[in-house]
Amino acid sequence: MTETDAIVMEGISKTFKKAQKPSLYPTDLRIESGSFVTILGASGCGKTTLLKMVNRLYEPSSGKILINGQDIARIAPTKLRRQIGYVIQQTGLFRHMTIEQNVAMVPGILGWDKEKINRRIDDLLNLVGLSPSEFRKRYPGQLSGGQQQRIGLARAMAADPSIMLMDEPFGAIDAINRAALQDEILRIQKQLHKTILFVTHDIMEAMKLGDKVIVMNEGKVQQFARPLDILRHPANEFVRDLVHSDDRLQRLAFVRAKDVMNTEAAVPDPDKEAPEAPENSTLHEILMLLLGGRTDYVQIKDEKNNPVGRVTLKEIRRA
Amino acid sequence: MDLVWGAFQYIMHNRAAFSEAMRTHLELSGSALLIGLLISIPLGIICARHARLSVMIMGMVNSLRVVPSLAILIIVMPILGTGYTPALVALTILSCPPILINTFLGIKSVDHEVIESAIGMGMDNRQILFRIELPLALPLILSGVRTASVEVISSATLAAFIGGGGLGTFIINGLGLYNFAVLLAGAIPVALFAICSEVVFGIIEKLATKYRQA
Repeated sequence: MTETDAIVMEGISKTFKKAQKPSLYPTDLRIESGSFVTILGASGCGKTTLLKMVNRLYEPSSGKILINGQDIARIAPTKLRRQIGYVIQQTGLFRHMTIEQNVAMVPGILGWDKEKINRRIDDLLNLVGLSPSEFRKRYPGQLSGGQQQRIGLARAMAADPSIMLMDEPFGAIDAINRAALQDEILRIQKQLHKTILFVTHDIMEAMKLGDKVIVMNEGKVQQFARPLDILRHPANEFVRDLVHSDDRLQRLAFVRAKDVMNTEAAVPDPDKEAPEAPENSTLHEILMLLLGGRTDYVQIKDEKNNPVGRVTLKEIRRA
Repeated sequence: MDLVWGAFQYIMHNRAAFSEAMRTHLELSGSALLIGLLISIPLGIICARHARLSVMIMGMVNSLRVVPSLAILIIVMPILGTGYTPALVALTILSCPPILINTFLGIKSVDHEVIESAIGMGMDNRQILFRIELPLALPLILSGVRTASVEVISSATLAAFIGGGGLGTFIINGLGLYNFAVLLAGAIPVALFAICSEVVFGIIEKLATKYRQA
């Protein structure tokens, strides 16, 4: 293995007691350190099984998993889990504890001093966009679903784990808040360079969030590649059908502007009429802007609002 | 009203006997409740962990609940004789079912996801029990304790029948003498204690569930 792999799975499989078939067939995977990897599949495809073996909620039937080069079978489960953030769909917040007590749980167990925990709570609440002064003393029951999941996220990051496991964390949240949370987790990941394994059954979510996507079906990894590569070169029929490779209009919804834009045309040619879009926009959105605007290109800008490229129909056709 | 006045006068004339009876009554109820707690809460936790054991114990406890208090007192008499100890044993047996059942239900009712995330965070079994399961089960446990306390305080009256002492002595004497003032001298304080414990445990319960009203 190379030093840049945060998680290495070697031939891991899982067959539950009394089960006819394995939930997961022998699988090899390497998750690069600092990468955001989504695991996409329908329920029962083995994606959650795969995830839960990383923090030993399930023990593999065969094979081994290395985290930062260390075999996790040799680390005590509680010790291992305290180094890995874990977020689940139902948040699992402790409703008899205030927000600050929830967030302070793992640092407290690890024996951090009060001062440090206190600062950490403020930092984390700010990071997930909830004002500490307003939310610290509240109980989970007083928060909306989206806010609760932000706290779930903050709690999972409390002890500053380098690896985060997320099991359909936004599955129970309404579409508007889900989009906001997705943007948030992308921002946080960019800022903190966590290695994230993120399980979802939502194709759009998997494609939007993942640097790489693991597509799973019937206990087997079908493809493990960058979203764009999955779209352009689906490994098999299953993946092709899943991402609608043949439906070009649908496909545009998965491709981001920054992946196809013409960077040579980044020069700020201030045609005031040209529509602008952030680099994370999908080509679907870009196409809408093109159709609605009067110019034949859309100016793509980065987070700091600098022009970084352009997208014309030519780029869209190539996508 | 005359009767109540009569009861009051009786108490004032027999202050020593009355305070002795009251002390015995409270001591008996208090000890029975305490021992009941020490038995029932751990047993309830064990039941919540072991499905097969819980079926057995819960079945037993539920059938025990149907047996009237007096019957339990009478049943222990041939085994343990008369006096304070058999009364204490009988009352302890009486106090167990509500606490045991509610502890079991309280622990069982903790959401699976909450436990999963606690395990996923790296909490060990002891931490999960004391910081998550018991606090979340506390409201139900307390309501079991409240039921048990009222039951024990009122049933302690019957301890007098097997020579256990307490305020029941006045009630039996009153009945025997056909003197209702004497009877009320025992009955009214018992009723007041029962109501008090109901109210006090009710308040404690409310404090323990502050997070729910928020």
